[in-house]
Amino acid sequence: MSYAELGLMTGVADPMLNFPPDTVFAPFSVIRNISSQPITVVPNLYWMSGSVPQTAKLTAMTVPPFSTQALNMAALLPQAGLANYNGSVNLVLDVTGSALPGGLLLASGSVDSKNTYVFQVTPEGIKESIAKDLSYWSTANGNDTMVTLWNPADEDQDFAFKLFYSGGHYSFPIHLPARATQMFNISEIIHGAGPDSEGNVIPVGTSEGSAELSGPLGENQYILVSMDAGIYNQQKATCGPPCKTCQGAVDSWITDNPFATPLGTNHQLTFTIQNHSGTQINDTTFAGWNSSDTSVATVATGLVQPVAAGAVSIAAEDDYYPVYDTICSQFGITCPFETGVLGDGDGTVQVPTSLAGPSSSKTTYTGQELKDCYQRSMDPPVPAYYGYEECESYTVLDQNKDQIKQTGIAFDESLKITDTNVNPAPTFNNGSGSTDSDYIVKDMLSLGSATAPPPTGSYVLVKQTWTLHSSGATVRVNCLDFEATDVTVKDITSTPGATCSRN
Amino acid sequence: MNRAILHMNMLCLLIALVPTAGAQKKQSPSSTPVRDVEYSDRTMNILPDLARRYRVVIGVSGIIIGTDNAKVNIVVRRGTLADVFNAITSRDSRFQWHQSDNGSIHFSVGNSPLSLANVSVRAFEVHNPIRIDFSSQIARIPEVHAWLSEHNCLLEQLFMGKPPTWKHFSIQRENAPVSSLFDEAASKSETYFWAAILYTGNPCRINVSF
Repeated sequence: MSYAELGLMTGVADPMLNFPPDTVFAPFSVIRNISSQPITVVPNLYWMSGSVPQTAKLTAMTVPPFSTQALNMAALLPQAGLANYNGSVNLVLDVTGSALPGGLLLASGSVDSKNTYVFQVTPEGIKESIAKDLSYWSTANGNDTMVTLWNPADEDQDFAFKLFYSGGHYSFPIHLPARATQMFNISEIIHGAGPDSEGNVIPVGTSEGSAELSGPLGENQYILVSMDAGIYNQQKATCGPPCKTCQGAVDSWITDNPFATPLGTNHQLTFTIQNHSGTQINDTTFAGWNSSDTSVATVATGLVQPVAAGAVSIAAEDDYYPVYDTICSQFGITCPFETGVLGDGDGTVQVPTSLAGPSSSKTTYTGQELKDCYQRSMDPPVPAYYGYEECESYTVLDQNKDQIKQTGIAFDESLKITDTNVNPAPTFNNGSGSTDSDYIVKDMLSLGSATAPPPTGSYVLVKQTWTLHSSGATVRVNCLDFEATDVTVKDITSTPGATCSRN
Repeated sequence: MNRAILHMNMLCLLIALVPTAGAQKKQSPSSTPVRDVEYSDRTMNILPDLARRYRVVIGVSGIIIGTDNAKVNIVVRRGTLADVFNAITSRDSRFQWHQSDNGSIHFSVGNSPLSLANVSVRAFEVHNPIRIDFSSQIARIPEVHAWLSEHNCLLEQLFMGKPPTWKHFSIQRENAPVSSLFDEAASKSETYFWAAILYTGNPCRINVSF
């Protein structure tokens, strides 16, 4: 693990910072090993020579268990050829050893030769993250906020430094060459700001807010960058670091929880992460997916493929995604502090087991064209019809009595006349049905002719059995009592052997 | 051997063979062999099933007013359709059956025949009738219309659910009884079954089924 201590001032103070004449700074860096194992530290210095990044690897040192060691910067700087350097350097400590996490305490900063000014620098673990946030910046009342960025990567990176303030935001693009450092005051952005890429301008009088450093593609883009910031006041001779946090997940979940999918129909789940900023990210393709019971359903990239009826729990996990932590990296040295988000959803693979209902609508015909339950002409058309038509609408229930919302579930209908005083019995066909776009099965029950409506007192008792076309399983048994002007439907599914009779 | 005797012998052989060959070509529908025929149902449910199963035209006519929910139980393990028909009529004494000249099987209600079935039609022609309208076309035959008017009766065909369709066909007949028109329609439409039953006396309504 490597830790960066950014912006350590060394030598004569920058005149632009308006320190008293003859103010000379010296950097310090202190390491305390609070573990029971020794650690090895290799210091590296990074600084800018004009616009060119410079690097020097310094002499390694060992820190014994439970001991404290201050780096001798006065001796280390000459190793890098910086004995007379005036400016800022970044000290990067490559730490190796078997010390447990949390076994290291670091402190660093710069202090002037008269011990008047002490500028603390917060060491920060170098780790890939998504956006990094500053809780506060200020340019009011003599304050300014200095931001130091260092690109530890071996390749150039682009960033967006976004200022948030009351009433809006402003994005400032930054290009950092590999290993390069950039320091700027937020007052410089405010005073030099033209419209940003979205046309935003910073209102006059803006002097405080928060900020976020992200990749140019947004806060969810992974970046590798070290950032430090300090709010300083030359008149008061004060400087303090604002709270730094790494953007990350505060919640994650699988949409459609609980979900249900019919056997034979794949179901796409979505894994969503919500960052501390409120931004929601679709992480479906980056997460790993797992099914609690692959004999019920398998899952890949969120696509649930049913195998058999039953219950299943689907989990999504992204081990790499940063978790938002309320601990300021002012006090912690690694950002993000932890990674890994997960979500799960309980699902049911449904099989049709029953038909619920029906709800009914009735039409009486006195010589008009007969239409089906969707008001379509019959094939062949029946131009004149006398009698009635009742359209019965059923919903399809699964093994848990929950509705199955799937189109095209096919059923076969078997009709058997058990009692009638109409001889010969009216002509009929065994029918079929399937769920429509509203997941409804409609059954057309009609009695009539092209000549005259059924005579008063006529009746036909019919045993109606619905079976699932794919398996032949019985899903509903009715007694239909066709009478002269209407038909009644009696559900006898619970006693399928019952006889449909008026006795 | 005497040539005349030889000729006589050959003639006798031919006479003996011809009827045998003719009988094989024109097997009586009622002699159709059956196995394991078993029903426990209403006669009016059994007959259309037999007709479609063995592709034998069966027609039923008569007067049956009131409920019709009595089941008949028949079992014919090995025999002919005639055995099945006999089993039915022995258990449902309302009916008697015979095989008509055109080979169709006609069941009639013994003590209440429907004379409409025997009305002779001078001429009838129909092309691709739709199923729901066929009975109306029969009712418009002048001789049938006259019979219906005389008896103050309505001829209809009742449907349940979506009216079923049938195979397209045409009929062109002269001097034929109504029952033979029904036979031909049942045969050509491949429904194989028809029934014409007077089922309400007041008002008089005759229901036709195919």
